[in-house]
Amino acid sequence: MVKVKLFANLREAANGQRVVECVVDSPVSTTELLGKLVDAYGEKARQSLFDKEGGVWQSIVIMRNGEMVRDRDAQVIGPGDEIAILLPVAGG
Amino acid sequence: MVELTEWEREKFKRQIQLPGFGEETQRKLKGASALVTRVGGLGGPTAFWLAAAGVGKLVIAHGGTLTPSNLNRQIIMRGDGVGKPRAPQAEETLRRFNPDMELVAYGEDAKPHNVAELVEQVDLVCDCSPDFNERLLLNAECWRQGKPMVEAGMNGMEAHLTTILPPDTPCLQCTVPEAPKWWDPLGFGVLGAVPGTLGAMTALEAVKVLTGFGETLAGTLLVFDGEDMSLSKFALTRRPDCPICS
Repeated sequence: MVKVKLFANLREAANGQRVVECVVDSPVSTTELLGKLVDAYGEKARQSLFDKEGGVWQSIVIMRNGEMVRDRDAQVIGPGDEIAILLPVAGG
Repeated sequence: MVELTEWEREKFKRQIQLPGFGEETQRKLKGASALVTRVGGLGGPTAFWLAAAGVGKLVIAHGGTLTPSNLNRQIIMRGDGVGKPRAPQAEETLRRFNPDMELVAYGEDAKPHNVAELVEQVDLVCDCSPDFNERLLLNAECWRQGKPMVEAGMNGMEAHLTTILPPDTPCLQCTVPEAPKWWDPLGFGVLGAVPGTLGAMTALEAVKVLTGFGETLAGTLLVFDGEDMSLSKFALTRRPDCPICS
């Protein structure tokens, strides 16, 4: 199991939940983890995470145990990890 | 280093008495300058707290006119100022509060034609714009001139704060490679106390960077979640192919 902290639009897509749990039995990449969130929370989550070509938006920041994960395809997320998914903000 | 007057010693005595602050830090602040781009819900409180802290010179930049929907958060504007330009209202509030401070007000936002001039005349930039393109422009210019930038932004109940210190930390473009297509500069929900809280933290961070007092958020992203009042910190890393800082 992986704990995922959600912010901004993604939290809204997940019906206001701040933290959700994803079943992860073996290491997955960030792209794969985000795919699980889309499976769970649908179109609104997909629009927040993936562009029209199916790639993860470049400006989404993924944190694993407080450290930034840059490689979207490296299978570095495993059971027990705490993930935070941050969308950039610019409001003032 | 500049000296304090007796009036300034009296005015700032409550912060001079802070452990580790002292008169030397206050003198550093008096000799320092900062730019705040946009002085709305976030930049307004930032500018106000910098004026209160005793920064020697403040430059503000904000175009456009005040609208009714600005008044839930833009607290250095005037309630009777709707329909009038924002910059002169902010200038008046700040000048009345701290007439000792040098204040320069620009009635337009940071843009390609003025960004070099805005950044050149200060020691530090507080980026408080609602527009990613303006933020990325300031980031590139601060990096070019080697000036620190306190980067603050919010959306809804969430606020982000970090400090960019060229050439030591990742820059803004490392985390935001391009302006996100989904972002609408006028479309985010906002309860005034959220940018107000962030504005106070932005000013505090700027004081630290300008004076060396305390620890800064250089290379660290602070996230304030107003829904549950939590604070989280995350380590930022440089993007190997960043065109600005790598």
